[in-house]
Amino acid sequence: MVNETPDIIVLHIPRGARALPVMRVVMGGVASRHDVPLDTLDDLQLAIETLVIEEPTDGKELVLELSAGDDGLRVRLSGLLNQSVRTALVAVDPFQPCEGCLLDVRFLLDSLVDSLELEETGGDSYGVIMEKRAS
Amino acid sequence: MPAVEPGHGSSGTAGPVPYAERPDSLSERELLIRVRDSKDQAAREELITRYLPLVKSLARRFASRGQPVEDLVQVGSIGLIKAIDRFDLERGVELSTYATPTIMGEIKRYFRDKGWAVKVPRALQDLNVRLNRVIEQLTVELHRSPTIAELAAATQVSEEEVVEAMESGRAYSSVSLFSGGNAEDDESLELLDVLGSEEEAYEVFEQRRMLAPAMSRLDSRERLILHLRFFEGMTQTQVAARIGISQMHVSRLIRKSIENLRQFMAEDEALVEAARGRGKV
Repeated sequence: MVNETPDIIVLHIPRGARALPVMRVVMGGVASRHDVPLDTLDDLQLAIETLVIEEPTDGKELVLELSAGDDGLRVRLSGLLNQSVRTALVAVDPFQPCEGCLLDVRFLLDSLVDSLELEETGGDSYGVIMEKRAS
Repeated sequence: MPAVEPGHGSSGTAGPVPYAERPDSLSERELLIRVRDSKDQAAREELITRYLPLVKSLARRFASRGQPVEDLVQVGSIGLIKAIDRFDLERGVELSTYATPTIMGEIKRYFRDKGWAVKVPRALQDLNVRLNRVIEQLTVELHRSPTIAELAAATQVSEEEVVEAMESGRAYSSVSLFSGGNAEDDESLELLDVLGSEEEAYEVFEQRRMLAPAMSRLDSRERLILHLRFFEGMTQTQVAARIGISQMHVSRLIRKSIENLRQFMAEDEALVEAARGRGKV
């Protein structure tokens, strides 16, 4: 009997950079199971790092959902609170400056991933869904 | 170096061999025979004394890499002692020929160990270095970035070990990033050599509103990496091929450059805030 359960891994991670190594290792493990090239994996890791580092260190944990398939890797990072980043991600003009951000998050993410979608999750928090194709 | 008297200092398993003359009057071959046959300490020390100028000369080649030359001489001396102890008289080569790469290897190993910002098990460090090479090889063979499974097969370790080694590689001190393409290189990676032709590209980079003030504070190497990746749209693998370093190296450089940018932006922000605060007073 074929297991049809999607290959999804969910991580609850504390805020701040200290969780990033664990997150990268898990992402590496998922990428390994799906033959994702290294540079593809690294771009997606860097995209996640970019978002996490912009986040305030106070607040509820972040949730990282990883899924992978033949077409590449997909991540959903939720629990995000940085409203400057949120504004930049939904801006019609992708070159609008990210006021209040440490870096130009929108510009970096657009370069790093193949698709980027902001997900409203209610209240002040939001999520970002990003995909990186394998080829 | 302690003074050596004739007849004193032999401590090998074959028993002391009396000196008919001072060790410093013996030939190099005679000293090496004493070291080999009787583990003669006086002969060993005499060889060390004779070859210390070679160690100092080799250590000075690494003088620009941020470590005191005296320390490097100490480290190189360990390599010299190893070379003396392991030297095979029957090989028909000079001790200097054998000792030079051994001394150099010891000094480079020292830099490699120094380069790890946090303690990483040696096996993982070594695997990380091997992965650097294998990634380059496979990228050429496959015409694309390899997968973790392919790296595991090529290095004959598990996929988990590959992931772990790659992550541990991020602990590698950024200080060492520009001192070599990878830790095993014989010569420094002269990244600056490839920069000249890129200067005009920076103008485009600077004109973009992204991070412009902070960008100017990055060094030219960092700007080149970011330019190629984010403005030229090159993949890490393509950047690696363009510059002649490994993809893992590019990955580290990108992170280091971005982290520097963050720091510069934060500093600029703090200055602006401080100026505003003063204005209100």
